[in-house]
Amino acid sequence: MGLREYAIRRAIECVVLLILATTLNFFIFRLMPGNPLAMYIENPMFKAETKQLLIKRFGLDRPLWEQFLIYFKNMFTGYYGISFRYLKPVSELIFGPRLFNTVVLMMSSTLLAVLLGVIFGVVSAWRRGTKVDVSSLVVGLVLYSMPVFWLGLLILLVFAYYFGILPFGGTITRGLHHQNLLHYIADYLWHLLAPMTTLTLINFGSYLLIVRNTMLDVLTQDYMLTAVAIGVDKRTLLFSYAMRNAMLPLVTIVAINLAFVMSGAVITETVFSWYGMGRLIYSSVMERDYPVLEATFWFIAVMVIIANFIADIVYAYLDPRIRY
Amino acid sequence: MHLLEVDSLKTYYYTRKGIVKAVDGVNLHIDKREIVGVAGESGCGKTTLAMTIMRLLPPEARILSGKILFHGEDLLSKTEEEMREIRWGKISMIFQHSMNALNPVLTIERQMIDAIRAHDRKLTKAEAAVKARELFKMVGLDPDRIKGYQHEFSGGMRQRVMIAMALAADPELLIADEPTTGLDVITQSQILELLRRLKDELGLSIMIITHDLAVIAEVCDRVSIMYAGKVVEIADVVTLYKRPKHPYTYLLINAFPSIKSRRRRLEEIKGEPPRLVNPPPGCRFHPRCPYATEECRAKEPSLVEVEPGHYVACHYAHKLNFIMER
Repeated sequence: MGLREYAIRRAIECVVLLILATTLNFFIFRLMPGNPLAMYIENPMFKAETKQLLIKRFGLDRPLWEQFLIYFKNMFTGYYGISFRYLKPVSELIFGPRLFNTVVLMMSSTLLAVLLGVIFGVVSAWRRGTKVDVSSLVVGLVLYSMPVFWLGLLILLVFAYYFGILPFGGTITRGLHHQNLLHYIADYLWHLLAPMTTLTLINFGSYLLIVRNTMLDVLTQDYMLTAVAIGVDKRTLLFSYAMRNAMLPLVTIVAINLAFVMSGAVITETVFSWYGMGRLIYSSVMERDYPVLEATFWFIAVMVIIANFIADIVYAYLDPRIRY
Repeated sequence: MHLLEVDSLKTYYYTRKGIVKAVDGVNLHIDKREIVGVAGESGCGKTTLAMTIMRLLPPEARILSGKILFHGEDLLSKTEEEMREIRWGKISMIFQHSMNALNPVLTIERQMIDAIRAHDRKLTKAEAAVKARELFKMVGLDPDRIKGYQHEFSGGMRQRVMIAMALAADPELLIADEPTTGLDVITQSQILELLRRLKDELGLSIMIITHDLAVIAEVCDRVSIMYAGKVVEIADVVTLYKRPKHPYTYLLINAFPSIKSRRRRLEEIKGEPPRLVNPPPGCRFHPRCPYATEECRAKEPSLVEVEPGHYVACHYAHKLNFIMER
C-alpha cells in the first residue's frame, strides 16, 4: 500500500473521529453538574417573562435531540452561539486578539523548545558521559520537573521587579501611544519575552530528555555500527542515518503539543496576564459559559485530530515500514 | 608475506565486574584467495578478534599488545583517519545479526551509494548507482529491487545485500561474522556457495567466524579453533577433521552429527566454557578435558607446530591420536 492510499484511509478515519468527538462534546456538558439555567438565567433580578424569553432565545426549551441536531449543524457551519457572559457571538470572542496572542506565544515557545531540545539532545547523546552531556542532563531534568508557575513568578521577580527590564504582564504597555507599527511590534515582543522564555524552558527539558534517549538507543543499533564501519562521514551519519530514526518519537510529541497551541497555556497566561485563549477557557469554566466552552473544546478536538493526522503522515514518510 | 597476520594479540574489556580477557594471545594468518575459519563456542572471543582487526571496539575495550599486520603494515599503529580508509576500503565486514545491519528508514540503494562513495569520492551518485546495481547482480539479487527497504527483503536476501555492501569498495579481505546463523539450511548453503564464488571471481580472502563446524567443513581452506580467548589448534580443514590433535577440537567435532557415520548419541562437551573474567590457570580447557593432568592445571601450553601447517596448544599433542569415525 502506498503512502497516498494510507493518507486517504487515515483521512476517512479522521472524519469519523471528528463526528464522534463532536457528539461527545455536546453530551459532556449536559453530564456536567450544574446547568446553564442555574448559573445564568435563574437570576433573582430577572422577571419570569424575561426568563422565559431567554430560555426560548437560547433554545433551551426544545427537546435534547433537537438541541443536539441544531448544535451539530451549527458546529459544522461555523455558528458557535452567543456567549452567556459576554453576550457576544462566540466566534468574535475566539477569533480575535485572544487567539492571535495565544498562537504567537505557543508557537514561538514550542518551536524554540523543539529546536533547543533537538540540538542539545543530539549533542548529549553523541558525547555521552562527557561534561556537556551530564550538565545538559541535569539542566534538562531540573527544568522538566519545575512547576511552570514557579518559574514564571521567579522570572517576574528577578527581571521585572529587581532589574526592571521586563514588564509585569499584559501584551502591550497600557495607555502607551505607539508611534508606528514597528514600535507596536517591539512593545509586543518585549511583553512576549518572559512568558515565551518560561514556556520554552519548561518544554525544553522534556524534549531534550526524549531526544537524548532515542538518540542513545539509535546510536547503539547495529545499523549505526555498519555505517561507522563503512566510513560514512559524520554529518550524514548523524543527520541521515541516526536522526531520521530518532525523529519518530519526537514527531508524535511535537504534534500533540502543537494541537494545544490554540487552547493556550492556562497557568502561564494567568501568571503573565497574557490576554489569550487559556484564560478565556479558564474563566468560561468558572462561569459555566456553555457556548464558549463547547466551541473551544470542539476546536481543541479538531486540532488534536488534525495534528495526529499530520503526525501519522510524517511518520509514514519518515519510516517506510509504517503502513497500518 | 601473508595478507593478514595476527601475532600474539590481546584485547581485554575493562568492565565493572573485572577485566574480561576476550582475546588473550591470538595468532593466525590469512593468505590471498584463502578462506579461513575461526570456530569456537559463544563467548570465546571470536567476534572481539574481528572487531579488533577492524578497530571497531567499544570504549571499554583495550588492545594490550600484539600486532595485526596487513600487507606487512601494523594496523594497530594506524591513526583513526588511516583506519577509515582501510576499513571497508581494504578490509570489510559482514556483522553478526546482519538482519539489523541495514538502516530501516533509508533505501538499500542510498546505503550502497553512500558506501561506494565513502571510499571513492570521485564517483558521482549516478555512477555509484550503476556500480550498486552491478554488485546487486553479482550477489544474485534482482537489481530492480535496489530501491526497496530492508524490511522488504527476506533473511537470506538481506545477507546478500550485506555481502554486496561489503564489496562496495572492492576490499581484499572480507570478515564474515556468523554469516549463516539464523538462516535455513538451504539459504545457508547458497550464501556459502556465494562466498566461495566471490573468492574465486574477485580473488578475495575471507575470514569466516562461526560456531558451526558444518560451515567450516563446507567452505574453509584452513581453520583456527578458539577456546576461551585463545587459539588452541590451527590446521587445514582435512587435517582438522581427520587428525585433530587438541581434545577440544576432537570433542567439538564429535558434538556434531555426521551423515556418513552410524547412528549414535551425540557427545556433548561436559561443563561450561569458562568466564573470561577469571579464566582457569594452566590450560584453559583443563576443567572440561577428559585427559587433563597436573601439568595441565599448572602450566599453560603454547601453540606448537606438530606437523607442517598444523599447530596445537596442548601438552599432550604428541601423545594423543584421535581416531575419527568418518
